[in-house]
Amino acid sequence: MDGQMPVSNIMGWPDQKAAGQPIEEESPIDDEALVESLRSGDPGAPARFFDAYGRYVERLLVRVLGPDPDLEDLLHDVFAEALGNIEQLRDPTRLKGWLTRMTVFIARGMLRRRRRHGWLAFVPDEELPLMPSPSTPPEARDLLNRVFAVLQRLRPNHRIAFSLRYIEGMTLPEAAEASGVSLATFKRWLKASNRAFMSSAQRIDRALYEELLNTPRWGSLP
Amino acid sequence: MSKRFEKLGAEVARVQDETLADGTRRAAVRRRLLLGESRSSPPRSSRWEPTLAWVGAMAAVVLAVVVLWPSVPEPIAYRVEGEAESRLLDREIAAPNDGARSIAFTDGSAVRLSPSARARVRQLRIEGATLVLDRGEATVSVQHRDTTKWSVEAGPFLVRVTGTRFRVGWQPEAESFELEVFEGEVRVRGPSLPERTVRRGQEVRQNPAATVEPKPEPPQVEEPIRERTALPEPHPRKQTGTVTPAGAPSYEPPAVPTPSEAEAPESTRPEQDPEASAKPSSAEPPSWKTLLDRRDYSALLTELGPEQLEQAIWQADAAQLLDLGAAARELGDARAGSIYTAVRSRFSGTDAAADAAFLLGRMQFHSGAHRSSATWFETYLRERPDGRLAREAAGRLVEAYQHAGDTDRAHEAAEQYLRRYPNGPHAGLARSVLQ
Repeated sequence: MDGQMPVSNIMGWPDQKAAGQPIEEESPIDDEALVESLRSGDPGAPARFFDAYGRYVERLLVRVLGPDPDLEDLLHDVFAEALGNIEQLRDPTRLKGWLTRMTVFIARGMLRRRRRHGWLAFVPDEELPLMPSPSTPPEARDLLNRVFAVLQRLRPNHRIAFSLRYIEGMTLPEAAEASGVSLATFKRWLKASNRAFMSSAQRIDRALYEELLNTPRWGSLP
Repeated sequence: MSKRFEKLGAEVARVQDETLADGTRRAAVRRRLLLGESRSSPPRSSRWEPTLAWVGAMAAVVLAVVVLWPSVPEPIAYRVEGEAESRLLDREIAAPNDGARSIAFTDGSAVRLSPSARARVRQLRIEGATLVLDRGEATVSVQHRDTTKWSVEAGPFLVRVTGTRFRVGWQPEAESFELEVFEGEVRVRGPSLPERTVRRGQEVRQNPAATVEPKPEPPQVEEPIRERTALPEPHPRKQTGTVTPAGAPSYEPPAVPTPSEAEAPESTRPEQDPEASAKPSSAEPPSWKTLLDRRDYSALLTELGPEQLEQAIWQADAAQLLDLGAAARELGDARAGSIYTAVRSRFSGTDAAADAAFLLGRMQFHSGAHRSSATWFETYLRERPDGRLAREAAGRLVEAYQHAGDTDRAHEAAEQYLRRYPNGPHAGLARSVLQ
């Protein structure tokens, strides 16, 4: 690991747990009123809908897919689907959960298509994921790429389970709801994802694998 | 174990959150939604079928935008021969069995479907469109503009266009793909077909029984890919790898490029493995392991399926991977970046990983991502401050910041360069930055 910041160092940064928690929108959203205005054809409603949930949906997609050249199209797809199906939402107070399921559904579809066409896993030069910002250490970007290189080898359902539970920081019931499966099924997926992640890391990223095994180096772990 | 994953996931999320601070992507999507552009992909499931309410709501949005913001440019539209102008997406356009059918676009581009061909317009943008060729042949003429973004999807193949005329064919039953370029050039990629440029006079054919067969390139066509010299074409296959004694897997770093050499491929080396030129007599295609052992990187890239290539990538040693990346760059193969990234993942902390950072910096520089390029050069310098590529990386860092328009950092990089290499090949550039 000479010359490259160990995962343990990066993971020692403060507020690491909070990072995975949902970022609350700046102002409370009246979902019922929003849905009503969408259904009534209020021309300003789609913009308000996107302003309310655009960041949240984008974050979910980033959690599941990582640095991905198709994020913009997928974000568009989620809102286009949601706007087109708003009449099917039975309980307007559950708008966010409905949108979450739709986002996960669309992300899963993308992962499945990619898995069928393995060549799509490679991105063109000009679409290589760039540094998130000049202030982001390259080591952090490296970590991101390494983790998603491992996740890329997982089955879509397992990858989604891992991303929602560990990266987005959802509780098990929340993640099961978002995935559209029972809690028991989600737990099975998660267990399988844990095994698959370690197995893949062992094969393709020995350093990450050993860091995960070597918990004392992380210091703060129980 | 789950606690460990929670820690790891939380850190990944923290890094990701930095990307989310940039609202560029959201702003672009918001604009697309309010402009009424339909999604770029076809419906994914009947579970989310569009409804009349959606059409009504979006029509109202479009109307409001037109009234309130009349100067907003609209996506282009198209007119199928004998029909009215339209922006309908994913509607099947079929040519009759006994005749062709034309589609004219408002940006001046045109598509002619051969008899029995079927196509759909998947996306309409201000700068172009995406056409899906479901079957048959189409002759496409795209009007070139600086911002043109046109593409044609034919089965799993993607043809990207900025301005050209070409014929494309797709037969789904035979999984047969054909492309012939009449004017300009296009980029094409598909399964077992690494992304490449196809120029005027060249053809690409691919089906399960035949592989890519580009015709000889006209000599007067200007080479559009920088850093691409003396490229071996996929057929006839040509050995491009390096010669390493058998049983010597140790990594040898690439030669230090001088500024004049810096545009050359990173591992175009004169020697050839005499064994590599001897093709197997068997009809069986060689395995990835055979090709890797032979260091036949060109064949690895052009003849293997994605899964086999991935296996090779995860089994190759560092030197092989760097050579594979170099071969990919020489071939104009878009997977070079992924290969170098694999070097950094698999061999983190080694000289090879540091060199991969340098090479990624060069790639990003030439793709115009100067700030990201600078980050990779800095990564190299941090990991190997006295490495054999350190002087070149330090000089490239000055260039990268200069091109990125970051005067302060260019100034700082130039000062550091001159302190360490006052007579180095980038000294002149560094002094000019400081003036």
